[in-house]
Amino acid sequence: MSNLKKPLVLGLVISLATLLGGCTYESGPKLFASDTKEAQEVTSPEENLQPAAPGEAKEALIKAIKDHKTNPKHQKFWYDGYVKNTILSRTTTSMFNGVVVNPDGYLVNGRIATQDYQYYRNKDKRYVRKGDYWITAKEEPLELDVTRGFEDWLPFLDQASVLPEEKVIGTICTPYQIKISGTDWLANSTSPLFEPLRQELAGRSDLQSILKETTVKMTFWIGTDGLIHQYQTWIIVPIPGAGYMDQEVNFRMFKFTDESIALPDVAEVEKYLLD
Amino acid sequence: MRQLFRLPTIYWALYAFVLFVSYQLVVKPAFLDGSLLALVFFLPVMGLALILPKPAERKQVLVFTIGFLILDRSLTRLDNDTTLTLIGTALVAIIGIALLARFYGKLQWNAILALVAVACLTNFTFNRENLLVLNHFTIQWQSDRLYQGEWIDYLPLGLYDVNHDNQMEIITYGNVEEVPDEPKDDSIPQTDDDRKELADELLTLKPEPLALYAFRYENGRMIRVPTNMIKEEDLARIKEQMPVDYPGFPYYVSKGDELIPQVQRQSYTEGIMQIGTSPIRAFLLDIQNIDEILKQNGGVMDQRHVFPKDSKYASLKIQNGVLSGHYEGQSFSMPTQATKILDTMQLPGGREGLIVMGEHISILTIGQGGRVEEAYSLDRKQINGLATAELIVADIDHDQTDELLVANVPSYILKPQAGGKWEILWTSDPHDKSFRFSNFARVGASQDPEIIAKARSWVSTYDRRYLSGFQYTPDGLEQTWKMYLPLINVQVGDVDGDKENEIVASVYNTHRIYVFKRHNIPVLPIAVVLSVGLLVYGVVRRFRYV
Repeated sequence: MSNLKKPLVLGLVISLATLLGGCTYESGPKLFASDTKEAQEVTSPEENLQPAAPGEAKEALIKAIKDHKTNPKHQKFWYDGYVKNTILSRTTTSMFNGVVVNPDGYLVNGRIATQDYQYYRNKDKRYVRKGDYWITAKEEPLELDVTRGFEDWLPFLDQASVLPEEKVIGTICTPYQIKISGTDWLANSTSPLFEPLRQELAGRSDLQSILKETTVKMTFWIGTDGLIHQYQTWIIVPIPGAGYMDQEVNFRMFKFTDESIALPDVAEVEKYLLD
Repeated sequence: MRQLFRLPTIYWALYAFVLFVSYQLVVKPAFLDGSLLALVFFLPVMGLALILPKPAERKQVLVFTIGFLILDRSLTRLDNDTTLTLIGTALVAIIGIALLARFYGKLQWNAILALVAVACLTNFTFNRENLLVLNHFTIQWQSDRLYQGEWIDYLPLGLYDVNHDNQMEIITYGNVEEVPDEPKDDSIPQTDDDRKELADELLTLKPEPLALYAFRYENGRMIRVPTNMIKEEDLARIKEQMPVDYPGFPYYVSKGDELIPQVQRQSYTEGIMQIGTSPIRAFLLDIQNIDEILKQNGGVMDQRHVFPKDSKYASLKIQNGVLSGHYEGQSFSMPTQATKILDTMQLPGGREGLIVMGEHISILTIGQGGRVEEAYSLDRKQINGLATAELIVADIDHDQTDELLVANVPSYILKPQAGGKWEILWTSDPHDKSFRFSNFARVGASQDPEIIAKARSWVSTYDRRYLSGFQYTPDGLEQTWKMYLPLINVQVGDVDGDKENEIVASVYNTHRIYVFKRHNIPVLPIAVVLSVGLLVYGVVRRFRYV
């Protein structure tokens, strides 16, 4: 019995001390992020930026677009992407991944605001899958052209910077980057998508102010194969009553030479068609 | 039959009760808080407990103990789809454990009765979630799920004195009363019409009702205050003071009492799959929604007529890149990039600063003639993730000058110093992703406000956050209480009119509101004394009366 007393008492003391004792959360390093040793040692992305040689970024993008559109060896590929919107502490994300088989179509595993779906496009067949069912998509289709829109950046590429090479899913790439304001983007982009907004802006000082305070930072990664492997755009835009939204639009394209890429058979999809 | 009413029945019942208290209030919190450390501590204790019963009784005690804990656990997980399935699954669990105890454990029927009775009492007489907060709180009220939908994870929560009687009403959003409660039909549609109807239902993203819910505590229960009974002026103030939140932005926008989808799956996907245009399309969607919000607000970015505390600032507004308002009755205005009016804070020298948020944080002061100066600022280089940080104004060292609690990774407590400098009083561990300040307020009858924060266990690597109370000391934040529930949207106020403050909060993705009432009963010490008492009783019984 006496042999048991000591460990028993010790155990009781430890248990009481553990369970009843107050805990104090001591302070971490009393430094701002910008004052930490790491922050001062690590080179910031801005410091890594070097102005690209005149015409270099533009030439690389033009060549890449042409290859994407015309090289028969590069018409099938995998992709993944997302649009991530962060306002205050809330993040809302839409996500996409799947395969592209040009010129037939693509399969998209998608998610909009946590709601999953699939979208299947094969020639003139277009279906949405929700839950266990495929349903015929009924909206007027947009043109099937996965590289559309890259050319709209060309007017900005004279001011592009180049970043150190890095790998994107196994391919060594050269990233090119531009940073512009929302106002510049609207004024100089060749995209017809901006036209309605251009017309809306006249007499709208509130929207003009939003565009003026918007910052856009676009980076595209050109691989050693001359193709676009990653495409990222940060848009920092003022939101009424909520500070600024950080929006990241990010796509990666890969496995351009994977011969096994194929769209699901239309008949297989139509087997589960609801309507 | 007679043996059921003999003294041993009471002993077995007492044993089951102490076992329940010990497991739920000592062992379980220790594991939630201590993880592996708790295992290291409790393994020897369990070993000791195993040898305490006399060898002849050991099997019976062990079967009773395990049987009780399993039954107690299984009764918390009954199939409650209907009353019938609830009773049915409860009976299966009870009969199963009773038979095991009788024929494997050779327990007498009186012991089995005690086992079943205590397990039923501990399951069917009170809200079990109380066990997770019982050390310092009880659950005064818990709402039903207020949102019927599949994609919103949480909605804003606030407190506002709708009736101006010093009793706060709970304000949130929901649609449980607006959405018809139809049973879910999972059957496969058979006719063409049924298939077409289901296809139309599934294909499109649809508007969702989302209404204001105001709850008032009356006669021991919460009742919903009809929105049309709230004065227009109060509704406007509620809108100003509620935490700003845009669920689903930019794919949904709030319009009236509805969230309207701004995209449909086919067209949005086809647009995004013209990959080069994806950022333009994303930006145009942002602008379309911002335009809608601005139209609803009459072009105003943000405004605050008054603050819910004594302040010299009033009638503040940000519009077209200009901040304007009144300070001590004198008007002022200045160009600004800010989009949000956050709060005011007492600065050194008796000045009152106005905190506004743009890409950075500015604390403005108003001088002679309405001249505006940026007295302090915080930028994204100083604080990573500043855009998603929350700021709480708090005089934590009671010197009549406010500090800023920055809820972030890491979190900061910042004290304004002369010359626009900040003194960092405290920071959380840079690797601690769980810690986040939630509020600064008096809780219960206490006259001293305390820091309320989400914090994980001290030693566990598991990142689950538990709501905790802290007092600031020069040595760090001293924990005063903890609730083992991962609570968000934490608000503090007197919602039942008893002059004591309750904690109002919700749990992520449940859409239920909880009201927690502070008590001063030393629950943990009592539970520890009972647990230790049980062990000591076992030791004495084992070794003194061999």
